[in-house]
Amino acid sequence: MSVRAGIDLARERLRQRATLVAAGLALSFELGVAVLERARGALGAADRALSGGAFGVALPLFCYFLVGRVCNGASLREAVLPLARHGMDRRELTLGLSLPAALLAAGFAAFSSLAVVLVTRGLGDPALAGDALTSIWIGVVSGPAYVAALVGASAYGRRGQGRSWLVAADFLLGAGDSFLAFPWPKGHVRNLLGGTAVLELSQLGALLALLGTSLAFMWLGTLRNQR
Amino acid sequence: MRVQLRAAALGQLRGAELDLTPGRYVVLSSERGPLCSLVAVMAGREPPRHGQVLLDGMAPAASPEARRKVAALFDEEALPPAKTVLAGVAKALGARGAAGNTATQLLADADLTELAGLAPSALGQRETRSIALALALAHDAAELLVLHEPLTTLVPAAFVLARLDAHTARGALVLTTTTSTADATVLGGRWLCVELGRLREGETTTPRLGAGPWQQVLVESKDARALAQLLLDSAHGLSTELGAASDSLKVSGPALDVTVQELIAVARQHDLEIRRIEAAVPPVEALLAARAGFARGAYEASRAGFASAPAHGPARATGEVGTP
Repeated sequence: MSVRAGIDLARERLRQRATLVAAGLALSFELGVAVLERARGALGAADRALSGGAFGVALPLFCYFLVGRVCNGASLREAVLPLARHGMDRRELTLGLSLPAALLAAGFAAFSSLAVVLVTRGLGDPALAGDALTSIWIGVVSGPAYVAALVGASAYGRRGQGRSWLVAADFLLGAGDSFLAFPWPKGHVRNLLGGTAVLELSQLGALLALLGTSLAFMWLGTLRNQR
Repeated sequence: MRVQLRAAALGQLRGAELDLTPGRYVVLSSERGPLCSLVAVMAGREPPRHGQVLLDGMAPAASPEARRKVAALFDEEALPPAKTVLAGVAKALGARGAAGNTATQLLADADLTELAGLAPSALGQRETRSIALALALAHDAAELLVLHEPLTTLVPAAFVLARLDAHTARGALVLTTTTSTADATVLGGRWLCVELGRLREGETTTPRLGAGPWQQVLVESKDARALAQLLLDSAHGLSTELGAASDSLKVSGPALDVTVQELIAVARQHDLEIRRIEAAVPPVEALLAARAGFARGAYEASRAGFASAPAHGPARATGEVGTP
């Protein structure tokens, strides 16, 4: 009951023109980077465009926007208040609130990464199909992972500034490969894309770390938010 | 329902010690902050930073079951997002477990039908609070109604008071908060006063902030003599002293809020007119403001004096003062 109400709450908040505009801007940015990388040289262009413009910049910022929208620009506690005040469970509402944003992030990441691969590889490239499939599944995983982490972080700060701190830490600390990069999604997503590994983790390890840390952020957020 | 607050603090509410049973209460404060925080912790919007808030032994911030029994009106309200206000109200009713199709009637009862077709985002804070108040007043299963400034919305005051009376009569605990003594008098119930961010419920009235002139009230009334006689019988041990003018009266009591409340109650009961009530000693804030005003006036006078003086005299001194 509360999960469904949370889904409904998120759908209403995401059903705005601003969501389409943000998706359009993020996609344009990714495609722009892809075109520039392709112009710089076809060799490694897909990797650079995916790990740089697409998964490195556009996806975290788009997920930040989505979570900001579903939280109505406030903290997680305030985001669910209109229904939680009447006796609905905050944890179930939070789960429901996250689902539409996670689905949207997964769809966007999959679609945009496919577009980036198409632009950088070109239709005649024999590696196109393999790269496309790989980038799609990484998108399907990393989009929801970012959303889960950001939703959890929104429980911190008076107005949910925790999600801004998380994005800042992801950009600053996640760029490295030491233990400081471990809690943030960026390093693990980069590993999945074939880039530098955080703490020399395998790709399976990176996948588990990405899912584990993101769900841990969400769990901490719901714990702070109470029922 | 039993509401217990033990050293509960949040924001400007520095500590609330209450143990309330069903009945009507009005919390009065000169500052809005502690009242907003009190409503937030009692309704489970936020947990207290320190201390405890318990509704029948359950913390409302951590217990959906406890929140289900609460109807609240916050300082800043938000409706569930929906295409129209009516749909938003239906969602709120659904979350409460009530039938959503009663939304139209709920808005009509509170005289808010004209807002039903608008988008919630198009409403101002006053309109949104009005809808939230209508929702709170319609919560017939609520055991605790905690409402901040319920008389400052678009809902007619007569309707609000009638609903509050009905809720009180059926055994709910109705607590309203306000910064207006006039509203507090109209809302009725037992007065609880926030002093310096602290709220304490006492069975007996005890002197606060020291005795003596600090607790004296100057009253201007053409019925001063009759009022003085009536106040002598007060349960709070008020003492009176008629002034030099026939319409002035000095009343001393255990605490200013208690004295003023008693004065108003007696005057209303016996239909006596009170023209003016003021504290015999101005509050600290007024003294500080007066001192600041005096200092500012003295400073400006000295500057004006320097500016009009000859250039080789004090004007040079002004330049020296201004140099860091």
